[in-house]
Amino acid sequence: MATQKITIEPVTRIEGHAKVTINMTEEGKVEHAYFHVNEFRGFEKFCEGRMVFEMPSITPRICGICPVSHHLAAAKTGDIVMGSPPPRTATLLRELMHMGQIIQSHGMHFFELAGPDLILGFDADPAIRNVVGLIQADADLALKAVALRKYGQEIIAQVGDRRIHPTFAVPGGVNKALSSQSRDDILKNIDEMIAITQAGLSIFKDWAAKNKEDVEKFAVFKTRYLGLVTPANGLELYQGDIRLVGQDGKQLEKFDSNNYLDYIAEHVEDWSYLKFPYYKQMGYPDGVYRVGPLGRLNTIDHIDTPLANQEFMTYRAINDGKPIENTLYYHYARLIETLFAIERVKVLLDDPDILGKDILNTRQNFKGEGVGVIEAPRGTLFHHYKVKENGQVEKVNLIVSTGHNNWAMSEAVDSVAKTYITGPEVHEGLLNRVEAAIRAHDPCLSCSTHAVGQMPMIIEVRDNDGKLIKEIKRD
Amino acid sequence: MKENNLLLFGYGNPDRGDDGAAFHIFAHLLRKAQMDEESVFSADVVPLSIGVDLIFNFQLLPEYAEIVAGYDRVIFIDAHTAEIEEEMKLQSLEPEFKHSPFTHHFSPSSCLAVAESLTGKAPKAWLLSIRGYQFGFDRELSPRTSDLVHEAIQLLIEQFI
Repeated sequence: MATQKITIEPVTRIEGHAKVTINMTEEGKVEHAYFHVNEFRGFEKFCEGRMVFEMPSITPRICGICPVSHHLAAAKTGDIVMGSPPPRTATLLRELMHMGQIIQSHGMHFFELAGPDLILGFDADPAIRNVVGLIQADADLALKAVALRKYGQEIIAQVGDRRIHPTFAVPGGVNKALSSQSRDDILKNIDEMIAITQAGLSIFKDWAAKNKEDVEKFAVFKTRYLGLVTPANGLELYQGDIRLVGQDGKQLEKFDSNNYLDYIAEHVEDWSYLKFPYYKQMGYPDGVYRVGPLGRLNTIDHIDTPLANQEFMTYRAINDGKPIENTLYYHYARLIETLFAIERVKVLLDDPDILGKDILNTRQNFKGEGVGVIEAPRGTLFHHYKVKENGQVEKVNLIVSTGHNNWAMSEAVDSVAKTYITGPEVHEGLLNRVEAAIRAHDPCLSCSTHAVGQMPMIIEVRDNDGKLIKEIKRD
Repeated sequence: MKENNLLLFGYGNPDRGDDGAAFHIFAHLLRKAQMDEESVFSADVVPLSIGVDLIFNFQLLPEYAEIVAGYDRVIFIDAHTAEIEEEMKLQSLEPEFKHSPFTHHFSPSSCLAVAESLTGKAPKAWLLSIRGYQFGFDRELSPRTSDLVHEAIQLLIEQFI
């Protein structure tokens, strides 16, 4: 049977990018759609030979999108490797910085990347289906969205030191105490930020109610779910054990992150450079799982802050307490986490120890190996180092958030393509839905290089002889 | 804000070889002014001289739109890949939103479009980009891009600063 192939590909020669290929039959039906990633795999080698205390400064260079997550994961790994647990104040300050990153990243994603699709519509003219169109449609909301992201950035700036090559977190603690002025500056805007996030929640819930059909057919599928949790299985983004739950929401495993290799393995497919992590005991693909906001909220029983927990209970009721499988609910989960992060900022700042001066533990009991895990905005991030006695890093293994969701993103692309593309004419709105399936996971594909001329997108329609039938190019 | 003030907005990753071209341009200008070249890693805005400010970051972000809107002239500085023929290219920019299909990528024209939408005006703006040849993990520039950095500095001094 003659087939045609549609490829959506950001043209780049720099690692870390992805493309979508949609193979179509002659009848114009989708045979299969794939999400391929050209992952950068050289960074681990780049780190080898460096000193472990340098890693919190070196690893943020992986990515300009979530440098704080790498900075803190590296410091946490260093704590374990050097046998130097940080004082309580340092742990509070690191978590505070992390909440800043969650707020700014989630805020930007909902209001500036996902918002235009939801508020203006998947099929809206692409010329206005963007943040500028959003500003024109609702300037007040857009200004609030900018303010929310800026607030997260401000927390990072007040707590940390440098935006680029940070030296704030180090093995054993942090290098800078928080001033009472900074604490008060951050606290004074809490209520406003909660109100902005609640406005976002209202927008999403209103949209979901009006677009029930889309929500219920847009990339809905079963997986397992993985994330950090508190000892009582509450939402945890900075530290805790890892909980893996099944399709029915029941716990499969709960384990210390240092033992992750006993539970997680990675599968290789010949159509993607990015590996596919899975739960070892179930094998691949039965053991694939999702991370990030939707994955995390499916692993927990409650949230320890009141407003976020109230919203979580509403969220959880959508599927009668069972895991939420709808990809579009990533957006809802992301906003609930934003609410949690803002409330958590207040909890941290109200703790008297946050202004403490005991911020660095200089005693060491060298272990030589450690795993640091943190919930980055887009999912669970693993840093694993083996270090020589002189402090030189011998081996590095990183499992990044986007990697855990690799299978889910490809499944989402396939599902959306099959659901919405029902004929040979692939119009922009359909293509946008395929992209939205990826965007919902908020993958980090842009690496940290952004040279001009790098990011146009091409959609190619080819027949089974490889002949180009149609090309759509976006600048 | 002084009349006819100028913002040089450089972005790229200084640890990815030629992607850090803008940082190297700023480092040269700051050394010449006897200032700490790494000050752009800490401060949001670094005053280089009267009426000339610098901002450097890994990437453009939407919240910079408000800052950009406060200037009369803005020059965005970046590296470019082989997709662009010229080794050094100075182009004027208009506010226009550029769609980013998957990522958090944000273009200078989009920044201007957001600035205009938020404040009702956008500064006069240009994109100065120079060809990058290697984007591996390296703080050094390739020899050719290093030469182009010096040419870009001359252009900025002669035409804008």
